[in-house]
Amino acid sequence: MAPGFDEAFLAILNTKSLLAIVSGSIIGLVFGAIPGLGGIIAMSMLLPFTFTWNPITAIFLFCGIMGASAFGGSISAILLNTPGTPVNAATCFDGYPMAKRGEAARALGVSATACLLGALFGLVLLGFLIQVMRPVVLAFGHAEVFWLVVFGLVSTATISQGSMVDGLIAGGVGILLSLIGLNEPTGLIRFTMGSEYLWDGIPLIPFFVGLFAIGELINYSARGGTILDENITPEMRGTWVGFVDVIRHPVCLLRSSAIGTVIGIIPGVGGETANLIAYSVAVQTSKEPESFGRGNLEGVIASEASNDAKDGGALLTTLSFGIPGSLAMALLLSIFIIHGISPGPQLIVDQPVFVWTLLIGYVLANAFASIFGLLSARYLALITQIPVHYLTPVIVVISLVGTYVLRENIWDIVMVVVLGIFGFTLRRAGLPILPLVIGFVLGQLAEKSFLLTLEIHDGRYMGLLQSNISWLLLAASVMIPVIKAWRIRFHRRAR
Amino acid sequence: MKSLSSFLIVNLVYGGIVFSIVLRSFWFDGKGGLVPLVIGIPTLVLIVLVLLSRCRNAGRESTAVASKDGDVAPWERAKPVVGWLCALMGVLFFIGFYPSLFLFTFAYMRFSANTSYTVALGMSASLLLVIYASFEWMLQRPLFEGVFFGAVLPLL
Repeated sequence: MAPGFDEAFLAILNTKSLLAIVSGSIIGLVFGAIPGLGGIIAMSMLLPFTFTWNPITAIFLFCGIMGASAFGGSISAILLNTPGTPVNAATCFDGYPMAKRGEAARALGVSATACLLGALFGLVLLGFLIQVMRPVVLAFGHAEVFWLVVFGLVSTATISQGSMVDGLIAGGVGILLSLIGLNEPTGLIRFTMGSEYLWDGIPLIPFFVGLFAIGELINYSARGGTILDENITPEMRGTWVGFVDVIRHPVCLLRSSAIGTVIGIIPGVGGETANLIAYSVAVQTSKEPESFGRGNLEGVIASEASNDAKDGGALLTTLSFGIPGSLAMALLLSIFIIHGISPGPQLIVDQPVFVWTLLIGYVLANAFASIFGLLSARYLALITQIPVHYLTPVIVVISLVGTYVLRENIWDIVMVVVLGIFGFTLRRAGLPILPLVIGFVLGQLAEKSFLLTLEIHDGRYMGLLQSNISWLLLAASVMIPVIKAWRIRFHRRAR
Repeated sequence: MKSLSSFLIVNLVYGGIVFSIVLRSFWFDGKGGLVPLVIGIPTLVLIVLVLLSRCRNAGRESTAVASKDGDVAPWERAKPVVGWLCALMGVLFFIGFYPSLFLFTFAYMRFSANTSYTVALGMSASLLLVIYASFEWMLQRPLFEGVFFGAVLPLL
């Protein structure tokens, strides 16, 4: 048995520890499900209360929050088309259509199971790689991150509903919107039209809440009835079917978890990227790509498995090098330091009990959140049968308040409403939202990586292609639209 | 409004955004305008091509687009919802979150959803209580008080 494992396991069998995990998970679920809040706010709010706690108990509490908030976010994404946190954005694309056709319980079951198995995958990989992962981290420089983002953007633009041209336009607009505000590599403030509000760019939460929650809310409020499509009898006992569905799609699960873990390892790329890239890869590799966006359960598996697996990858760099891969990890790092634990290559050797405690706590938190999800899915699914005129004020109020508290800027509310109306117009026009969102999330990262690569290589563009990983990602980015065009041509000829 | 109109509106909005960003990108020295131009110019060309193509085939395309969106409500029915949201936004700016959220919930439930006064009042009061308890008491995150309550009343 690995050194420190038994001591860490004994630390769990303690009322305080179990209470910390369970309360952390409940807080994570609630904060994750409310649009705009999320696990990071919960962790930062509770941080001051834990200063005097035993470090192990504090870590259990934060593991609980971190492990459960992702699944919490998927509940509102599936039931209300409102991603609780930005990392659940891709879950909306197929989870919500499933809920509309009466399979909300099944979608929640899929999400709960994929979350748990994705997290386990990430943590198992973490256990194996923690000693030998230095080359993996060092292999991803700015150029490789740039090509990874290009790959995500190209693949999404080509897989979206409607024509490829509409997808490319939406992706391009998404990228350009993400460039508004301060550009870190050059120090320029761009395209703000003189507005100080836009110095930090268009904020992510109002962008998501507006396009998804308010855009869809306008739609179903105008239609009336319930979220569930008319003439459909809901399948309320589908939770366990969802569990089995995930087991029956091992390739999608493992592939998405691997993508999530690798993206989690790359510092600064973020969870939004992991779930969107895993989703687009799932579409690319599917035999029925046209069924995505209409309630294909592989879409939910890909999004949620990658979402939870990325934490294992991010923990790897946080623990081994003290490099936080995301905002949540940066917060976790500060919690370690406050409690006198210094992450770094020696951590696993010097403090194995702490490392195992963290991993076991994280697994337990995910297990608790998933079991809660599986047990409560059929009751949560009842939300889709409530008349929308009861839901509308609740969703409006929670969305607006949740958006406001994040930055306490009243203009975020204006942004939400304007983007909500635009989101509804997009739905009316039958144009894709997915590439717009992906372009927006990944655009800034793509530009930053591109400019930093040029800077490092004295402005030479070949600096972008100096590693095998870059060439591989470039080849994949070129091949995807070519294969798509070939498929379309082939189908036309066949007809 | 038909779907084709929505299609044109979206592409015109896209075109306006891209055009203004591309135009502004020429003013930046060094690499500040490089990526916006590389992305913006092809996107603008695609938007122009799509708009021209759709306008040329307006008759055929309108049916093709309209057939896609069977589950999307028509604009005529969405206008009142948009009106409610804009009204809430305006009221919220002047009197802040708590009074406006209460008024919005009550008015929406009573006049748009046609529920009874009791249901409308009960729902708006309980929602207000939940929000107040969560954000003021538990999270200690005060919400916007509005231009009127935040700035004018304290002076009186």
